[in-house]
Amino acid sequence: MRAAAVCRFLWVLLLGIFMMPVGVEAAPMHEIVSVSSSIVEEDGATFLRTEIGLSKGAADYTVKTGSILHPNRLCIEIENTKAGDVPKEMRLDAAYAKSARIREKDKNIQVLFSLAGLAEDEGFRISTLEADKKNKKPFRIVVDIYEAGYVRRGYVDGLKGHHIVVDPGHGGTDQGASGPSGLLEKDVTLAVSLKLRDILENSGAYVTLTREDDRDVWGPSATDGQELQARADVGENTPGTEVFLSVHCNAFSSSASHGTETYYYYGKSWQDELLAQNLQEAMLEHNGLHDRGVKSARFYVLRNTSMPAALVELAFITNYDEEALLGDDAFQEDMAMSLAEGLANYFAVSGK
Amino acid sequence: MRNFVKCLLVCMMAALMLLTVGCDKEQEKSKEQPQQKQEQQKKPEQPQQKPADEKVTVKLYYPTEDAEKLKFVELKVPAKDKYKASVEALIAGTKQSGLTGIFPKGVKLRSVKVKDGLATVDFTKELTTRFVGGSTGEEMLVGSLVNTLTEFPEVTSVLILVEGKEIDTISGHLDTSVPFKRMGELL
Ligand SMILES: [Zn+2]
Repeated sequence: MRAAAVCRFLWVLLLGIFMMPVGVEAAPMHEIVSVSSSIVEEDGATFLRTEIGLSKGAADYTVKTGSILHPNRLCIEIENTKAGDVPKEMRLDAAYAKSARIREKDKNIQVLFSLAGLAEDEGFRISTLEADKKNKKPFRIVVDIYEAGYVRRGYVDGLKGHHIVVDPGHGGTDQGASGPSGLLEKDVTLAVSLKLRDILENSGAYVTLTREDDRDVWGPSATDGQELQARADVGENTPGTEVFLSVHCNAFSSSASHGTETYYYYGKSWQDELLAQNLQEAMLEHNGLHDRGVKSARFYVLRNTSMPAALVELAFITNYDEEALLGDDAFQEDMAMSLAEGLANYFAVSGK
Repeated sequence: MRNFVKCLLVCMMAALMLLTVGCDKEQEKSKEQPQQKQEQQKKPEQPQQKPADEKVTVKLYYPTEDAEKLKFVELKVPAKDKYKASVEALIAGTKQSGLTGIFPKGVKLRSVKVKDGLATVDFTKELTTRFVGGSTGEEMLVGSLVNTLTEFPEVTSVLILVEGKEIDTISGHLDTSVPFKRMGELL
């Protein structure tokens, strides 16, 4: 009995010590100083943009959806914030969202949007804008809401929270293969990889590229082995990497060879082949090119990465027709989209 | 004593061949012979039995033009130079319709050595510097070399060298740092 009492006393004391500093020096509160809504057209999509201005720069916020009681509700909860002199209730364009409401919850503020459709990830996008002193604009949380049923461009379901390393093949002093009209493999792999990164990030995934511009990953003076190992190392050294995806264009001595194929390294894990299959299927669905299949080969970056890895060969740069496709921006975008879908399908079937 | 004389004879023969032919492969063979005691009666006589121009039929694997598969073409080559002749025929390419060569222009064979099942094939630098082909090209080049050489029962794996040194890759895809076994999936 006495021991329990002492214990409780100590616990209360400890609690008190922990609580005290919070009470004494609480972080200064943010204040919502502006809320504005407008219809925006960007990249061929139209959406409702609401900017929530905050007085003290970046604030932590969480996004909540999926309420059973309010399936149309999109809630943005901004921490340690109070509402300033702004309207607490706003009527919006009903095609996107009926209204927005601001309410206090403990020390936080909740901004509640009542959407025209169900509140699902692909229906909105949340980002932030830094303070713009020149135009007298504060730090803003930006909520873009799309029309109900609109499938946002560059969004793929099932990628949220996943960690992916994308390796644009070749680069810098290594131009990779080249096409009859002079198109370089290193340029195509980078273009597709950058587009892929945008889609993956837009879909909530964490992406690391082995290179973001035209360069050697290890350095211009590296041996081939050092260069390839440097790429594999990006996969190894990026915490939480679930997939290593190397993007290439194929090439052959005869222009007759054509089509799409995907490689994996046999004997690593069962996920490697599954990954390759899902990527191959998704690419073919989009590009309709000849199916050269999923193959196992002893490729350096596949063999020297510990996580599931695949190397995709989008098409043959040495084939006249396919070279033209590979150099086309819309085709590159489409291939990036297909790779994102292939990754999402892989995550779905691998249960990861 | 008989062994010693035989050994001396073989060594002299080897030295002579080195001077006249300078072929690495023959040198390799001669070295092995004294160790193969069980076959002493037959083997040492082979060089004498086989005339210099004796030929053997080899299977040379070339990629199809669409690079989907490797297919073989048969060729008669001098028996004493069968490895060298085979690799050089791969480098030269083929006129067979539907098939194509994949070795880069200007590349030359420096040597082929076969020892303990491993064929070590040394090329000049053009193998990597003038190579045209991506993943599939590399696979077809390595596959044609490996499958051609492993047609010889005494060869089970193949290691590629360039200018006498091991290489990590040909053009950034296949890992060539360790020997390749027969690549049956390409046939
Ligand atoms: Zn490549």
